[in-house]
Amino acid sequence: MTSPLLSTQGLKAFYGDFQALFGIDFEIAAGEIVSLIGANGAGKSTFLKSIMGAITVEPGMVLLDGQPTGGAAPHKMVAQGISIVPEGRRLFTGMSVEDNLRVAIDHAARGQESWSLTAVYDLFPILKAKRRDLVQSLSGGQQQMVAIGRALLNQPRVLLCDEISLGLAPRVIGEIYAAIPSISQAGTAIVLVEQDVGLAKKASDRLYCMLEGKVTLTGRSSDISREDISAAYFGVHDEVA
Amino acid sequence: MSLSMNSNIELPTARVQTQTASGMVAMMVGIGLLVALVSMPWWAHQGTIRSVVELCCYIAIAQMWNLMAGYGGLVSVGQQAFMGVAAYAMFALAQNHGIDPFVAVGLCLLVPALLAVPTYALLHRLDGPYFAIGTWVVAEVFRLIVTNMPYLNGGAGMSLRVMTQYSAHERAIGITILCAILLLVTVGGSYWLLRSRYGLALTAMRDNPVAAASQGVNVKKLRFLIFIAGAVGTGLVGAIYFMTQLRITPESAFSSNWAMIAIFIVMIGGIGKIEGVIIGALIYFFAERIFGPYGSTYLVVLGLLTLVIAIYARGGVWGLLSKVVNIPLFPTRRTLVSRDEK
Amino acid sequence: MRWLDALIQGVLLGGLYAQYALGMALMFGVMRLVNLTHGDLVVLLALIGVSLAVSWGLGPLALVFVLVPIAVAIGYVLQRAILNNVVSQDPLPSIIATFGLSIALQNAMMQVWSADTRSIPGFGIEQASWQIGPIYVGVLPVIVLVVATLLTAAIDALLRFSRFGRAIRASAADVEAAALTGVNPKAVYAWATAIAVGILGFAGLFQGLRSTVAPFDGPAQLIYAFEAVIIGGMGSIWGAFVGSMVLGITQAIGFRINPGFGILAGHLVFLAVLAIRPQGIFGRS
Repeated sequence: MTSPLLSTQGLKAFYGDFQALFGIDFEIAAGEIVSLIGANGAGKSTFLKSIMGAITVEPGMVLLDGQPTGGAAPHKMVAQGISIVPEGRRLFTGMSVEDNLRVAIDHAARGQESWSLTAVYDLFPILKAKRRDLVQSLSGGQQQMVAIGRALLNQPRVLLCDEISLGLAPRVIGEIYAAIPSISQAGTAIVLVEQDVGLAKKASDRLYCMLEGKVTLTGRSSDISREDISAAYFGVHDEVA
Repeated sequence: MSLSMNSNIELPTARVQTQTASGMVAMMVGIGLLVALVSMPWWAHQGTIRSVVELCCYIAIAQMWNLMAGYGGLVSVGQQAFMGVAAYAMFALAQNHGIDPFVAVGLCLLVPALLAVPTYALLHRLDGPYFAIGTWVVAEVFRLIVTNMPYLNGGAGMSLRVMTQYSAHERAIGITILCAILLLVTVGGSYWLLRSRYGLALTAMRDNPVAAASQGVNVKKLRFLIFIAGAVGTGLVGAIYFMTQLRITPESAFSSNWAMIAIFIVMIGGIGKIEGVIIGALIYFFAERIFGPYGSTYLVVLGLLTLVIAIYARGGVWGLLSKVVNIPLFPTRRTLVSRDEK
Repeated sequence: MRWLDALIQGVLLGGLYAQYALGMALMFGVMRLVNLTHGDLVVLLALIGVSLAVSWGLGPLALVFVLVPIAVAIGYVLQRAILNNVVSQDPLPSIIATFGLSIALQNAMMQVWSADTRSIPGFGIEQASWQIGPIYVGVLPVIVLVVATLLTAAIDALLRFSRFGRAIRASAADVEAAALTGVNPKAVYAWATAIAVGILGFAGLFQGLRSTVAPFDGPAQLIYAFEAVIIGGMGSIWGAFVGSMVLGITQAIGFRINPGFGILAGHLVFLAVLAIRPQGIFGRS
């Protein structure tokens, strides 16, 4: 890779005294789709939070366009072109679908104008019909669409997706993931954090597997075998318990 | 190969220890001070006795606020409500019904206890800061009602004339004994509570109410009981203070100065710790004595100090000291020691 | 007729209380923060108004253009320098910090202005009144009510339709998610408080015109604001307005019954609302 758009170098992250990440090396180039898989507690969400500045890390550990940005406040990361679809969606309850989306438009990164309200409504037509409804009245899948639309309207160069399939029915997951290629074609790099290995493998160009705060496997998604992933996912080692 | 239980395995035995060396020393000193307090009528001036009584009242009311806020999570700015009603109840019992004033001090405590129940029922659903202002409103309601009650002589206030049946020396003896009881009940009682198993529940509740509840602590009930205890303790302070003053008016009885005193003492001294209350009371007491005559600037300083401590040094003076030396005077931390150790 | 008069006086009093309550409702809605210096700031602004009127001969209209910007600046600095440090789940630090600041402020005002009661010279507007049938309606109270209504409508519109209003509502719903969507919470909070205290610029002016102010009057005004917000229902801007009306009318009727009973009547109605419908008139349970 010539020079990655976003990368981390030896990323360490702590919750108080508890160390969650033990030196993660990661990179993604413009237009790539990279997935990050691992079991619960592997550190995937922590990783995304460290990039977004929701967790304080040392500046040099996260590099955007080669510049250190670790620890910068989340709203500054948005301004620089990173946006996130947070775990659990975290929509603004009490506000309408359109208002949720408008907050993102109000605070979008400057420079590119890839996504408009119309474009988001084209991607997820049901949202246009429900745009004046309060977000809490939507189904899980529809809420996920709002969350993705909201992140897109921040005009990201890198879109971080934290377990967007969680809690959704398979058909709905299919609908959501069908939108991923269009997002990528618009030029946005996408990081997909997933527990569902098959989904992640199919949707991405490259993948990383994490276990207990470390990267245990990385490579092109099509080249990695199921057995490799199993071993890296669960951490099966040579010694017998 | 057979597995056999080796019944001769020695498991290390352990016990829970709370007392420390500094704690023992402090207890000795404390007992000594109480004895000195009670003996004051025989060797101290009237003025000195009044000052010491005032200091005891500061310590007691602050410790009650400390208990409610530091452990119960009930931040109140209206404890003057219960001070006032208890004091007025005492005056009414003594002046209007001829009950011996010293007995009335005990009997009057029924009033804050009873009034605390509907007060808590009305206010407890309010969010933290709104709960606080709510307690202030209750104090104002009590003040306005009392001002309009001829039975309590309304706005003109009452004088405790029945105390003239005792000589100054006898009054001093009675008051100092009451002060000693006050300290034993409020400070001593709090300390006993913290060392008991309720203390563990209280500390758990303070640190994380949800986790505490999941461990079986009845958080709602405990909070309610603390509020009642706080109201009664505060009431006792009021009864004793105004007995010393010999005079009460609605303005003085329900003055928000008491809330200010309690909060300054606890926050500056160190919240959640009895040592903090003692330090804070001494700081406030001497600040008022030394700087009071020059105007109210010292209150500006104390107010700003409280602000700074609330943001940057939540443990107060005692908290800062504890970072340097660990000599608890009222130790509550439970340590597991092996029985083999001393 | 006495009762109609009381009703009208109450509504007009409610207009003043609404200007206290709006800012408190806004701050609590966004940050779950109650600023215990809220009442003291009204007094401070009124006293500044007094000094400016006496030193520079400024009339009430000119004072609006001076006091409100000062108030906005005070609110902004207060939030950025002090209150942003105590916005959190734990209410204790914000209560204590603002309590300490309140005591400091009251006593500092004492040092500067002494305990004398003062009022802002209104050049006749305090006495002007219209006669409607047998009733006299003061010009100033009507102005107060109109301003209160306009301010309430403006804040409501701001929250519903403006970029800043959306940022406030998003921060109130989920401040972490708002930050992740590009909202700068510290700036939102600072401007919310700036607006809240800015409104007090009007309130201080009106209180100084209609009545007297003294350094220790703050807590009483704080309590009225608080009661109005609770009666009307937390989380509702028009609720704060309606709650203020209810409080004002209650107090006015109470005064008519017995001069010593006015304030107490307000307190009792507040406690009754707490007992019967704790979420307030417009609050959701």
